[in-house]
Amino acid sequence: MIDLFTVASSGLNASSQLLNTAGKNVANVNTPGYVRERTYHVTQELGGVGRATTERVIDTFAQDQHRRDVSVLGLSETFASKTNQVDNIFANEANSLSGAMSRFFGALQTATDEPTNIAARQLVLGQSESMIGQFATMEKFLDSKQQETNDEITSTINRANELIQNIATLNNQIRTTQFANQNTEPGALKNQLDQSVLELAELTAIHTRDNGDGTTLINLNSGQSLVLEDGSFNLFELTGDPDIERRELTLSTPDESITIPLSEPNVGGRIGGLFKFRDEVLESTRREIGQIALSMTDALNSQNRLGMDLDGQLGTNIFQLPNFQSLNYADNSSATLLVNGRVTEGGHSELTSADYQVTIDAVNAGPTLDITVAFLNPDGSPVLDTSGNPVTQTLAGVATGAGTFTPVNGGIELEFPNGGAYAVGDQFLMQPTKKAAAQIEVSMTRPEDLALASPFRVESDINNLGGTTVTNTVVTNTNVDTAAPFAADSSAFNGAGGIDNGLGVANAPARIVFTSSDTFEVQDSAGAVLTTVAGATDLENLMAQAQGAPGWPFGAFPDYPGYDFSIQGVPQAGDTFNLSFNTNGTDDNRNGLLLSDLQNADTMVRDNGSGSSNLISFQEAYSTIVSDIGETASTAKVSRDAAQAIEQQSRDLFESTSGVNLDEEAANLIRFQQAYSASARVLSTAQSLFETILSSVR
Amino acid sequence: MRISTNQLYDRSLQNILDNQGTLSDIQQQLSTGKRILRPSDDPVGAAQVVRITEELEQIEQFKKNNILLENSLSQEEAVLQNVTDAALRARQLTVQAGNGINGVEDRRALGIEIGQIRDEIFDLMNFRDANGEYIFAGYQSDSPAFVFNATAPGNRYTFQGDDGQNQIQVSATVTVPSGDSGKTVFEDVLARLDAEITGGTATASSRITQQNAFDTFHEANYDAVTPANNVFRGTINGAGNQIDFTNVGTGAAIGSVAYTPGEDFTFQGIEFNVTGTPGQTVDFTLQQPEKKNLAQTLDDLFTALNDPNISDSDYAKAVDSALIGLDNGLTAVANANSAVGGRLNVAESVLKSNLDLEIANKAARSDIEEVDYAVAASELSRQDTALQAAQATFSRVTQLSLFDFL
Repeated sequence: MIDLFTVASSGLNASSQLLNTAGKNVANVNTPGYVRERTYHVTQELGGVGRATTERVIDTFAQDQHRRDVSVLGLSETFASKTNQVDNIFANEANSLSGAMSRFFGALQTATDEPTNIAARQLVLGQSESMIGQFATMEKFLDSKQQETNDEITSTINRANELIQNIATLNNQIRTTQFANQNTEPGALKNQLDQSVLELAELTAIHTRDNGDGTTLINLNSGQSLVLEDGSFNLFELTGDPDIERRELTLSTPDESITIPLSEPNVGGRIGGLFKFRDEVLESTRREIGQIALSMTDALNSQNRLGMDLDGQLGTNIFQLPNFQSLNYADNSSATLLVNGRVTEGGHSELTSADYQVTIDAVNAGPTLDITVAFLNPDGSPVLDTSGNPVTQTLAGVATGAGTFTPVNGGIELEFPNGGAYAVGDQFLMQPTKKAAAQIEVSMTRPEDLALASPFRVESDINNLGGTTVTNTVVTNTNVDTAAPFAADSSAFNGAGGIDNGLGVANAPARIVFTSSDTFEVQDSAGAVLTTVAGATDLENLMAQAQGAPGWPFGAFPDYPGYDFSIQGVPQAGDTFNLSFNTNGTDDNRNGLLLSDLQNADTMVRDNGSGSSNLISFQEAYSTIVSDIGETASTAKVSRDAAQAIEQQSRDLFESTSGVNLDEEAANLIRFQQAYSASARVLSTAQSLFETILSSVR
Repeated sequence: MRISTNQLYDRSLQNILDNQGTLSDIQQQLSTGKRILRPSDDPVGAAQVVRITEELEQIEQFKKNNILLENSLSQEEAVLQNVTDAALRARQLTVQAGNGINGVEDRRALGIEIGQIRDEIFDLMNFRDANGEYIFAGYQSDSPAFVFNATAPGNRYTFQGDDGQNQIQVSATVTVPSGDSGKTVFEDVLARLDAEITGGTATASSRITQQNAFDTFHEANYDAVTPANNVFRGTINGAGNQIDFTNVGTGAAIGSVAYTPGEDFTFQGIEFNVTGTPGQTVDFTLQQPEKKNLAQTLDDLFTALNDPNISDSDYAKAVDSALIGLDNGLTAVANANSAVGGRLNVAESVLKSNLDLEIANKAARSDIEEVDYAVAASELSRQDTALQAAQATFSRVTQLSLFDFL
């Protein structure tokens, strides 16, 4: 009889515990990370219900799968949403660089049609301002995206570090609690732990391991430990060497004694997504846009310098191109050393989107330097040529000192202002194109300065008897040097409205006189013969032919005289062609046509200098960027959708075991309630039996 | 499979959100008329649209250039037509002036009209366009193409521009000259070729009577480099019945002609009258070919017509020179005119091909970029239905709860 009481009360207890658990499940239906619990009982030898064990209902394989899928989703979602913003800005027609370039070249053509029309020239300057503004807007947008991404990386890293510490703390608590109470699983703590692990998995791809004592150990997918067995942990850190804007991810032990650099693309999760966006989209797009901006402005500058403006002066630069300064590596011999760079005048067809790492190999007396210049991708890896070897260039005896620029491959030139202060092994990072798009300025202010005319004119003498036409007058060099020692790249132009700059050797060629149909004399303005070309097989580029003729006095100046022309037809003996500066040639538009031609000319390197010699036009380059961005964004969306579907599936799988179903709990409530009633009934039965016995005794 | 309550909500909600996103995209496609809303919708298409738009903008510019080109060429054509008309009238008058019966007064009257035509042509040669540019001055369009200098020795009307000729871009590959330099149109015109008696021991006079034959001789023998080679010497032979001509510079014999003292004979288009004895000589020199523009040619004639003391032979020479100068000048203008016509044809055909290209490009762009309204509209209603269904089922699915029955 006593037993029946015990049995009944153990039943009541058990049912109440079951109801408790069901109630807990119902109450926590919306708690993130809550895993439904079940209470199990064992039968006692004497007939009652034994000790209850409450456990979480969990499929650890599904949980692991879910964590992995969350990492993938974190990466692809972050990458897709970031790329989408860039995608959208390129979609906007008002932002189209191509439209801005078209409008600029259109204005240039209108001005070329009527070279004396000041209003049309003014429009060219206006459109060049607007085009440069467009480049700057685009670059500033991308720059702000980079700042934003940097901030986001920092805050995400901080969050990940919090989670890592949190997990380590929870591990300790779980270990202590579980040790003290072997029968009850510390469900709440474990839920918190799992939730933290899941959140961490979203931030970075991790690998978890159950330690057997209820604690969870965590490694990065690439193997490095985050949370260790002894309760210690490692944290992420960001360093920016040499580019503080381009942080690199490292892992350090708590005492910061060991720092492990991480390969960012392998980190996975949202952190990996941010790094991937920065390296694959932002950095490269910024450089490619900067490359277009620099190439185009340099090409226009170069062509304008070969022309003559409305005032009859040699053309000057339209745009002011920015100089760029090196970024120093932290372990350089001195933090004050630097290297300066700028785009070589006329370097537009060599300019690449690569970064350049300059290493000092030797410091010689003089002082001169031996250097190695390595081409780098935006992510710091070396650019590989077509055979897969890193693209580098070694230079010996590079002059130092402020104002001395040494051209290197890639259309740039470098200045080493610190003289002998450089030390072997010092490294400098040059990023010519990264910020260039926002730094170019329109330096031309007067519309008259637009050099639409050519500074060179050939006139056939009116008494010529041969039926000849002058064709293809070209100007290749207008460098003015009027004082000895003359630079090797000097031209015959004297900068004062003449072509009588003889560089101290002879007077400049000013007349071509044919002495027979295939022999001509090159004379100076006084009629003295400079050289005679005999037996010319054609009459193309007469100056080039004269350069190869015996007695040419300007052998030391390969680009002299800087102008040339061809003749069609058969000249007769005595035919004379006078070469002169295009004085008063205001209605000339030859250089304007050449400027406009740049719109379609293939003058740009396609990529980062990996050796492909294919040149493309500016707008082609821009459309390549658009399609690259579009391609990346569309791939990102597809992989995000795929990751979402997979994550949903594995979440479903996990939830199907561990999630709370209210209907199920409702059914359980009824079931347990009835069991409770039944147990109560047993108790009342026991009581009435007891009463019966008592009354029979009474 | 067991489904947790949260899964039920999440799934239904996700479906609704997905449907809403798609619906919003289609709505945007319909309202903008564009299928490619951002490059990622069709990366290759987006790049193509960039290129095609660039090409269309260029074509637009080429059309503008073409209009400008046609304007300036039509203008030049009109000017050249006026010059031709004036020169033809002058030629008529010149022929009239060649009539032997004209007296001094008649010549003066003709001279007045010739003078006016000269001024008209000079004015046309210095034609200025709407911007005030001298269209025949080459690159130096700020200054007049031709100047008149009353006191200059020789030619008083001279060209002072240059050979410059501007090109206008009418397609990516075609540039067309938008004008001509006055040098080729007016200045580079040969005047009548001439020879003069420059020495010799015999008494002699000469006149060019067969200009064509003489022109051929002149062109074949004139030496611009060595002046001595232009002097020819006729020597009366021992019998006194033949004159042998040699080149003084080279010594080469160039022919003989029968000779009767005092009688005219013709050699290479030149009519000689030589009186001399055997061994005596006559030297004649090929004159350097002169180039004269129409205004100068007419000015020379004008001078001759107004000179009361001119000899008959000089007058005849002046009329001959004027006729040949006018003919050569008209030929040059006609050549320029036909070149202008040719350029106008090129401009027009390039314009047509540009228009064709424009249509083709626009069609291509709309194929790539623009939305197919039928497809998009039916897609819109499909997505609409799907969204409604998702919303309807949401409430149905989530309303069911066992708790309602407790």
